[in-house]
Amino acid sequence: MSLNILVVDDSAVTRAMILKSLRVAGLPLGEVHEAANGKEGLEQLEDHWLDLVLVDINMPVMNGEEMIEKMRQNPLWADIPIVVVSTEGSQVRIERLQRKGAKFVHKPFSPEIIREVIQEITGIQLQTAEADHGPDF
Amino acid sequence: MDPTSENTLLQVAERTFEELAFLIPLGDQEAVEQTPDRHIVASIHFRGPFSGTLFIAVPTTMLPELARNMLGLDQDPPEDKQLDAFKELLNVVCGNLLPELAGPQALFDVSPPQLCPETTLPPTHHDTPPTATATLDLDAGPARLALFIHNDQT
Repeated sequence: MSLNILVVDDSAVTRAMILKSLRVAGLPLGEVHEAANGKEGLEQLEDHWLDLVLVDINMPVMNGEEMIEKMRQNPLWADIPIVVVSTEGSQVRIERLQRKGAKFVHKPFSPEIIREVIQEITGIQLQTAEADHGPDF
Repeated sequence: MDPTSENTLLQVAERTFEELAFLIPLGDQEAVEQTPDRHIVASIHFRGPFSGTLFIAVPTTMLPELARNMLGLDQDPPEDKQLDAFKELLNVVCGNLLPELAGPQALFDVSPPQLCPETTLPPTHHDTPPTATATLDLDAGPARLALFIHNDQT
């Protein structure tokens, strides 16, 4: 089974770092889509069938929190697993996102952390030795 | 300047450079005085229990290594990726600094990092002197940071 994923972050470098971590973590990737803000992310959701969304919080045009809110209001997207990958340090905001069912990965992150969180949220079993020795991103 | 904030800024910056870009500051004995030709400066603004701006300045010669390390590449990425990596580094420093200064319950809105036309850190911002400054001596030269808190509402 492979996962179709969407990575939403206004930094192209961060999107590339996340994708590299997913590969190092041994995640079976299917289609990979990218967006630079929440609005573009929702447009990608309109156009593609996705199994997992990784999203930043602080972005121009539409931030990640608003995007998650809109996803949860749409019956087609309400159950898609969401992982927030952010520098966010406010426990208040993190708990608010967790109440919406999102998991949280704090930057800088390692492939092992990404792997653990994705395993937990998707239930998928990953097998890799490389991730145990991968760098932080 | 506030010594506590200064120490926190230094620690967060050191940790971020090391974990995100594998750039480890040199010890005092190893650090050599360098005067690189050109520097690049970026800033990030935040608003919350207090508001302000964090600036970072690094030698332009550091950018390729920074981006290569962050992306795990053997070759230098294009300039736009190098600049993006530099801004993301500042974003991560700022995101990790604010809860250390304000506590884990504080909520901040952080703007996207921006490149600045200046080539040195500003001595003041909104007529305010820096609350804290920090310098990391790295192989490619010094990374300098300056934190300005210009309306403390706490």
